[in-house]
Amino acid sequence: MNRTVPRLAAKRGPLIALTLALALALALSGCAQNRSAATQSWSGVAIDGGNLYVGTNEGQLMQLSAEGGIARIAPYSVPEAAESGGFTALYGTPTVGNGRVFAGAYNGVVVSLEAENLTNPRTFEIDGNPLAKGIAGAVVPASDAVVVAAAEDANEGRLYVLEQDSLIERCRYPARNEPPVGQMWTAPVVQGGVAYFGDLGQRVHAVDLLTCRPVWEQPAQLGGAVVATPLIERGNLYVGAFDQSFYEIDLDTGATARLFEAENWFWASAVSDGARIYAPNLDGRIYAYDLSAERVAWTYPSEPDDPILSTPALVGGQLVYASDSGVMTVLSATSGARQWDRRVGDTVRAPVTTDGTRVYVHALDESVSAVDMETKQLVWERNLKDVR
Amino acid sequence: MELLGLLWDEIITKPMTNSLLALYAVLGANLGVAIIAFTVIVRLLTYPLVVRQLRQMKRLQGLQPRIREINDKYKNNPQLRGQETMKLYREMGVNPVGCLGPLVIQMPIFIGLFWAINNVLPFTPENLAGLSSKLYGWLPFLDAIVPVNRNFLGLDLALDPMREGSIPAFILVGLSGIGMYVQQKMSQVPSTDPTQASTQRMMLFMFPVMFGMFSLFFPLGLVIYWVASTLIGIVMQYFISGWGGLRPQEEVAAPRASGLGPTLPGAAPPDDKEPGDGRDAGPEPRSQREDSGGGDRARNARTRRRPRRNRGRRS
Repeated sequence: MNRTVPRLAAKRGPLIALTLALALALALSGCAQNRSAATQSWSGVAIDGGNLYVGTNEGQLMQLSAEGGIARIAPYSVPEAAESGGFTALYGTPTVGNGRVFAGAYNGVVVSLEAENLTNPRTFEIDGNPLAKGIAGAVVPASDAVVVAAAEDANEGRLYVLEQDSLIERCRYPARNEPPVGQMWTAPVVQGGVAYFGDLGQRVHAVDLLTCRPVWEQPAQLGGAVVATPLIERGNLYVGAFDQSFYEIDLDTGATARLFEAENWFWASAVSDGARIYAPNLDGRIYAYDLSAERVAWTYPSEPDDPILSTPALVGGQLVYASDSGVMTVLSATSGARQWDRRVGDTVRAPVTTDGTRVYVHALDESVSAVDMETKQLVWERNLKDVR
Repeated sequence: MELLGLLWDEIITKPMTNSLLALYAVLGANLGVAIIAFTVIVRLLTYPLVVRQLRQMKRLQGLQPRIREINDKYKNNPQLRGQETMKLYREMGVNPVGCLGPLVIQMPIFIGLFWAINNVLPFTPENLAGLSSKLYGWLPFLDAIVPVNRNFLGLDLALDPMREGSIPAFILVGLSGIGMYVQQKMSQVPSTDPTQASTQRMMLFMFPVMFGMFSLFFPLGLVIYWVASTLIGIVMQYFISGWGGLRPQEEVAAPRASGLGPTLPGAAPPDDKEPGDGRDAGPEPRSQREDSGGGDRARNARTRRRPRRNRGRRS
């Protein structure tokens, strides 16, 4: 008996230690990184003729019929990057040009496919750290080229100009032998052979697409990071930044002026009807800036609301936007008064797309909704999980 | 559960995220330096708690001879033995698992910091977008510094050592495990109870090994926090209770042989309410007190300075 007690006690010791270790393991396991389940991308819907194109979080490019949201052909899966480690998720809205559809994946792979049947793929992979490189914006067709802004490393990015037919690199900005600029999670806007884009290093660049040389003497310096695609209007660029400010940048010189301030970051791109600029903000409001009066004409709603990461759309004098609440709201572009709204998914971060009569919204729950703007009715709704 | 998450966010994650970013802004946009500064601040803030824990640990150390007496006395009656031991703990105001205190205090901070680092170092656009809701509106300058520079001494602080794959990253992992072992060893109270002793032995190796293995999958920013925190902890512990369990037993015995050690009955001053000095536990035979761990550098020094006065008061 005398001997058994300590022996039993000694046997219990490892058990107690094991239990404590298990508790520690449980507490710590939540801290271990799990990048594989980390993306929740928000590709918008592209419209080309009777077809819609949309990207998924799993790196698939899908074609749906605009009429009924039917997938007639199998989706195309973006290939893994040469050095594995990145995600194939598609954040940028696919683009269509010259019969081909283009998309950039978060693993740094650019793809080009025949729009008609998603075949004959061509790919290009950007350089950089396989763990940190990626494309979060759209691949923009421009004349005979496509332009893509990319992140190459944790704090570095480059703009790539590729031949549209072959996806062979034409040039990059900055050049290989030059230090990169800030990381880019945006899509450029192209006008007159020049690409304009912002970076997370708080600068906006203007780059000639033939030479990949900067157009301005210095990039435009803003007060915060830029992820929104700049808007070109009346000879100026308009873009909001993370410093809660909305800026006007001279298209020729890059001179900047702060127009107004919001209460949170500007993430989504602004849209314009020529007279006003409508800028969504993460404070949940839309800011309508009157270009002639040079002041904010209205904001909606009056109180902060769910963040807006989705770029709105203008449809016949109405502004349509969707937010993290999953509700699509229609406002009068003139007064900012709410017209109507409807739920279109759990959370919406993808841009709202319109063909003039319908709007298409891709929510984070992978549902795509087509809403008729005249009847205010849901025409169809498809979940991409089911379609796949 | 949702409320719990909200509370955790408001009380732990948000303040940590904002503090870390504020330090980053103040300390020359260097996240590694900001994390180390954050660690120093956290250790200073938790200093009173840690000191309390360490003192309690020392008190526990001083009780060992009496616990052994109880063990011997009730060796055939484990139930009574347990009751008597607990009674002794209660009487002396000692918490038997008190030595886990520093670790327990650090855990919410560690997990909170994990989320703070995840917030501050976004991998994906949605992570970055989520950061906007974590920043305090009354610190508008924070909006202008995000996203932060992730590099520190050539390491990407957002990556785990496995992905980072560089030698310095693995050295940091090694340091986190070794540091944890050293700190545990210093704070461990040698137990006379076979169950406790066996648990201690297992924990001494298991925790650092497990922690080191988990560190391979933590963002490096978090590993830097843990290494810095452990080093500060070791220094603090050394100044409060000496090398503790790290000190070889022969060294403990040596000063006693010369009559200068802390084992002399009544050697410690009565105004010095240091636990483990034998006063709480009452005078014990010298042979028993020698097992009380020794290793109290500060106490040895005091004892050398004023042995007579204390002895008088004690009696």
